Amino acid sequence: MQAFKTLSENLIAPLINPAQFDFWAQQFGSTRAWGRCFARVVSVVAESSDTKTLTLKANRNWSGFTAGQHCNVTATIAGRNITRSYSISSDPMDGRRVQITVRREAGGLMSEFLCNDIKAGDRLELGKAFGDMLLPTPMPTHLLLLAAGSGITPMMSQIRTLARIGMPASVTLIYWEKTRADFNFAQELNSIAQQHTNLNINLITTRENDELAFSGRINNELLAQVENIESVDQVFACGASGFVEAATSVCELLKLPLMSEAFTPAKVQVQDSEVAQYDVYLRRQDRHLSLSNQLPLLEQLENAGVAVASGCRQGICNTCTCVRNSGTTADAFSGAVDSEPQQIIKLCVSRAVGNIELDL
Amino acid sequence: MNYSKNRVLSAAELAQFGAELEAIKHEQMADVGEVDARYIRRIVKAVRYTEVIGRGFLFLSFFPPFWVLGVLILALSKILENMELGHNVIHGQYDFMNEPSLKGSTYEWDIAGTSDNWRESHNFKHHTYTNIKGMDDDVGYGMLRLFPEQRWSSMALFQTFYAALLALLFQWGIAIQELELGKIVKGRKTWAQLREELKPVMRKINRQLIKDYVIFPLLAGPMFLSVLAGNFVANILRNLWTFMIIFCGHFTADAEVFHKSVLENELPGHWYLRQLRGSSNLKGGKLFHILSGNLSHQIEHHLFPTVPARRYAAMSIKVQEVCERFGQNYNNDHLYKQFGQVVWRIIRHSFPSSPKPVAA
Repeated sequence: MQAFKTLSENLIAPLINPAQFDFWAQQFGSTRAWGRCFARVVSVVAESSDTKTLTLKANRNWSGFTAGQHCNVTATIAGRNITRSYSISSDPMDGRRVQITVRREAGGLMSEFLCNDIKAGDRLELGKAFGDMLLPTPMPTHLLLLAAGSGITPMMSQIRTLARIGMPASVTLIYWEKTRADFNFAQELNSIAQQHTNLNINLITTRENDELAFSGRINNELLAQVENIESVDQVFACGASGFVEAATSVCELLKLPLMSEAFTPAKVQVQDSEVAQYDVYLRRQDRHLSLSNQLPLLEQLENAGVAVASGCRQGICNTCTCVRNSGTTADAFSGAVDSEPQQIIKLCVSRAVGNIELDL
Repeated sequence: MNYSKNRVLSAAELAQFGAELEAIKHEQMADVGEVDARYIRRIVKAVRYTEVIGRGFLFLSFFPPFWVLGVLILALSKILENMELGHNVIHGQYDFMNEPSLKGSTYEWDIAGTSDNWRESHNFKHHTYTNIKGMDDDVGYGMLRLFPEQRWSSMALFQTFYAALLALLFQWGIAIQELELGKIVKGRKTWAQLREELKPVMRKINRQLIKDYVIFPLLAGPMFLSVLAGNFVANILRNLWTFMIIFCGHFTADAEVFHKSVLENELPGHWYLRQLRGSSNLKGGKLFHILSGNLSHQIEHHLFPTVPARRYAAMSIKVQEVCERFGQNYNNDHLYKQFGQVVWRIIRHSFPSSPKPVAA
């Protein structure tokens, strides 16, 4: 299945237990694995006041990425595999060397771990890269990049890629952070801009009064000040959902073609005893259902005609388990309310406590 | 059946009994985490290393004592894998880790039976309908008469002989259990249906046979026969051990069998009561508990099949206390006593017998 398997590996494939192969590879200090993509942390470097750039060396199962994409990163924290998506900030030409830049969120399980606890030599697991905010072909004449906070990371990958191929388009980056100390990649951005005159960088702080050329939050007037705004034929925006919404309405007004990606820190919802309907998205079937928070998911899925294997229907036999990609559910059997992404749950005893996505 | 050791509970008492056991479970589940993850990873390590060491000694079995050592260590590895690792992982006890190699719904264990069939016959039927005649296929495994409630036929006269055979070939018994060959004889299942069900079973059986009786003997070169014989004996030892542990779990003198009618209008807490009355524990040291996959705490396992098994020992103290207060027998004794009762059952009920009248 994997492109990089050696001949001998293919020959013994039918007799190999992948878990055994992975175990011994790990015992010998290797990140090799039969099918899974593990990565070794090569270095952890402070990027700004509260962000770290992790340089990872993925094993041969890494299938690469395109500038602007992100991937799931899994770390084992307190015995549990925790998964979050991070944009990749490095140039795809670096092969199996992959960089992610992580901002520390107070109380964020994964970001605190990646910023405070992880060290060179540790092992992470990577998922396949995904995301649609990709450089279009043919290349636009004037690309406008709008980045707020961590939204800079996928754009950094794109700027690095464009710099490598000689900056074939005019690129204007507007990058917002709270204070000057928060800017990521500031030095590298400046040095790329010095080498490529058609890269125009504008930094904006929202909490400091600065003598920067631009100031303030995103709006029509601000974009109107961009040099040659009329020549812009593609806009990318990335940041928290509020920022991306604002960028969307501005671009609509100025009739600029926009591609955007929003990230919002996961909010743990409190258990709600009031009757409510929630959106349940079945990822594999690409289907949305509106389900009640009063009944177990299994029963309602069956009523909706979704085929789910099931057995005891009381939380003991482990037949109806499925991965909850995102959202919060309450487990009547263990009494837990949980919103960890990529968590295995039992459908027969779980109720939705908010909108959820299931791997069905 | 021996009801004299158990007090009859009123509906209110029954509900309270169930609620108290439920509380013990919730208390443990809230604590499940890093220690359990570390524990099961240590078990995985023990399984892998003992397998390599055991097979290593067999490869060097030109020195006869190494053959004996190899057989014993390999049998130990297989026992650990089946009992403490495979059985418990398949129950989903470690699903909280989100670790793909320890995921209950996909784990494939190292015996002839497929994990998928096991999930159906064991996790669902056996654990939901424990010791209910006609619903739990583990009651006599479709061939033994262990309770006077089961119909006697002249075949039963020979059951001591084929119980011994089953003990020696236990993994094969489990492999074909879910195929329900008896239904073919009675014409309730077609050959075409059987052929379809046989496909995954044969695939698994082939894999196991090729591994132990072709690949590893071939790898040993001149020690071919010695390794083949060693693997064979190790498998037999594992079969005998698992047979003994599993039969002690539900077929001791005080273990009860139930009629299907118990499921009608079942009261809250009744399921817990049935689990208790249908199961029996084994006394022993820590190593003994681990080698039995903690099925030596069969009662706790049946009350709490999804709680990591390493916690049963601690839970048993509280369960015993609850049983005492509610006047319920807690069936617990040493292996030789419990197994003696099992053997007596096999011999006694090979001859006609009838249930004792229930005392009012």
